[in-house]
Amino acid sequence: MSHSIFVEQLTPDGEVLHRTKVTHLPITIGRAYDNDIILDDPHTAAHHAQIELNQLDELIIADLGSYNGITYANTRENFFVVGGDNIYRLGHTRLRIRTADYKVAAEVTDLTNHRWEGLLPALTGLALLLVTGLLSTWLADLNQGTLSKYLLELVSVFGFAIGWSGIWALFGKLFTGHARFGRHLFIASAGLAFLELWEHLSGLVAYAFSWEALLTFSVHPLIFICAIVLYFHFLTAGNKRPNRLKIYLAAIAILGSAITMTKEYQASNHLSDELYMSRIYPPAVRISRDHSLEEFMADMQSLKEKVDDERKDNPEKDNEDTAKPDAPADTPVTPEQPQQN
Amino acid sequence: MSFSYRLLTRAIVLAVGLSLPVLAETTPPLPSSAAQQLYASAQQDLLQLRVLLKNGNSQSSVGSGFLIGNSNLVVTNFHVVSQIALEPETYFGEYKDTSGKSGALELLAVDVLHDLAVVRIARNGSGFFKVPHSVAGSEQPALVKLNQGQHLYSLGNPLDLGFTISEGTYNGISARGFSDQLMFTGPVNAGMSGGPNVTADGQVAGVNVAHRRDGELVSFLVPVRYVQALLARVTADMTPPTDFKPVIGEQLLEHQAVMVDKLLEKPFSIKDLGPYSVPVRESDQVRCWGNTDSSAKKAYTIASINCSMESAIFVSGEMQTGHISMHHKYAHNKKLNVMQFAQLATNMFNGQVYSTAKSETITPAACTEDFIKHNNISLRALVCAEAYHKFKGLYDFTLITASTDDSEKSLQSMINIQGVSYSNGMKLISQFLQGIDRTTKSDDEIKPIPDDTIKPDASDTTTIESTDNESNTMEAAQ
Repeated sequence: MSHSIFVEQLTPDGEVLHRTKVTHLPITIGRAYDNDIILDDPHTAAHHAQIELNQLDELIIADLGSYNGITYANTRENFFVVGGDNIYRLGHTRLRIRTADYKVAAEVTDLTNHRWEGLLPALTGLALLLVTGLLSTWLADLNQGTLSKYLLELVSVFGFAIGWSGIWALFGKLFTGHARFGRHLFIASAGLAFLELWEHLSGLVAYAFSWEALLTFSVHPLIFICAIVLYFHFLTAGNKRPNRLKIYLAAIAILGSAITMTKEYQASNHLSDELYMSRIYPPAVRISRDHSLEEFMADMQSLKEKVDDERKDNPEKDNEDTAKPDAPADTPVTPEQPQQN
Repeated sequence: MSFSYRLLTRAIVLAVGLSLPVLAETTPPLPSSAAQQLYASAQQDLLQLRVLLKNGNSQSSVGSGFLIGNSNLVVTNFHVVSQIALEPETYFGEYKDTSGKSGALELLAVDVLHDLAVVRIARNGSGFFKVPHSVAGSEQPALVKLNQGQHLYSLGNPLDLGFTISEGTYNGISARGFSDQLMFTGPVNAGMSGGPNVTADGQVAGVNVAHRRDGELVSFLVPVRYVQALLARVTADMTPPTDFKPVIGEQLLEHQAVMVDKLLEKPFSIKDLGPYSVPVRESDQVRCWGNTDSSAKKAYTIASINCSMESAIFVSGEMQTGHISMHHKYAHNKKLNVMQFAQLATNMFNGQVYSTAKSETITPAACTEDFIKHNNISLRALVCAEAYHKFKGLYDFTLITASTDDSEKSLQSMINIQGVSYSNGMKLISQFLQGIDRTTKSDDEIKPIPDDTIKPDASDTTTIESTDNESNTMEAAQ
């Protein structure tokens, strides 16, 4: 066997703890000190396993009659044909076996140091915030406020974005050693700007097409946007498992939406967080068709059944029980009124 | 006249030998000693009525009442005993007379519209308060005739402090409600409601019911003819209904029919607001107030017309019904960008209608909204309906609209209807919507809002006189 063989002990997260280069076969593995690879794992045997070639000239890892054995993908076998990406479990130990001709993955872009880090994204983020902040302040500024009002508004938004990004940067610094403040600030700012834009855009679209649901369920898109922002924050702060993170955040977002809907339902018997679409835009924005008064009144008529269903007391019963003997006696005097006036 | 009364009063009071003579002896002659005489002879039949919680026996509402003739029937206000009518499983009633004796009471009949009720107690009247009446359906005997300026005396137990008599004058009939009320210029305080109001010679003129919080001594009485009509339907030995809710529901339904008929007797009158015309109803029952905010500093102007019925039917502390109000707001852009003006219109349109699942009286709102076009105007309209849990066939409605045909002008209208049948609600809303229009006039011809509608916005709150709870008592006392 001309090639060297590398036996790697891995952490549960898949990082290499020890890498041992062996140039001869077979390679013995176990707790005893006469092994080539010595394990410090009480769940392995003194002579646990051996790496060797079989008759087909394939590299295999074979059990030497240990109690806990060798498992791969949750199945235990007496031996496995070695694959360079497979992780074998011996007791609590994770082993990966690679030969020198193993093809490594392509070089990955260095995200932490070169592109979209530092001052550039930070300034871009702040510029985005400035534009959206000014736009929304201006839109809401119906009393032609002074400059100080705009400044105050901007300072509070900037303050929030910087504070928030600072916390994430600290978090990243603690766990990965990289603060990446500029990138966090960009993510936070872009998120805030997108929230702002979404509010205006969804309003316009809802008004144009008369899609009330877009505005009456306005909280849910916001929750979704926040989840996306959190995803990028976590990724930037050093999360290594984006797929798992996506599932977690989606679950949290769905839970948040469900809680909001439950709360609204208990308070008002509606799942939506707004009772009606309250946005008004200039007539030029309208696209949907107009309805006639008759159609509207017909819609109103159909509400009757709905509200009748929601009544708590069922009065039908009450009427039958008591109204009969007393109804004539209790006829109010209203008919007399016109004469008396 | 007043002199002879004083003598007479002293004689009676001395003869009766109560604590009053001390007062009569030591105080200088009062402006009217008729009051002394009246109180002396009326006090035996004057009662304080209390509504108490079955659980804990604590007092929940206090009012007054009076025994009719020699019978065991007591007349009071419905709002004094409304809790017994609506929640007999939680509340019970008790009376207390001027000598401090107390006993149970039993609710016999109610007239929610005129705020009257008859209860039965285990004691008979001395015959002082007479309300002549015959059997229902037949001709009722004639009642006392009142002249403006005539002295009237209200009796009762204000603020649970003790029995009192207060003097005032009769000032005609108030037609602000859908049924008449007498205007009494004299103090009627919380706790006196349900108490009698009598003329100087002891004839019952009415029943204390309310006073205006924004006025001084502006009080209201239920005319005695409604008492007569109610008594005609009650006998001393009748069995009361086990549940008053259907009875009240029926009375409310009849009232709303009369109310809506009267409101829609004529089509709505049309007023101009900028280039728009809006429907309003101005009558004895519905008052309108206008308002403009057009200070030069502002980037827009807002003009509004608010019409509101001044009376409502009291059913319970949480529920007043039979009320309609209309609001129109017209915003005109001066300096704002169209998008900013759209934001202004949004702010005005937002948060006008609520839905709650926590109310004991009404259901959560069911709403429908759409863009509609009729006449010369296009609107965004929302209508919400709510049903009453306890009264079948009665609904509340709210309609709000915003004009969507102009980027520089916005007309927003609202009609709020409480306690009407579904078909009447539809009728009112349809007519209201039809009244909203855009006149074809160009902008320069548009005249400003007529001056007669520009008045300060008065808060017209008619306080109902029961000492329902501590806070109410305090408010009324101040």
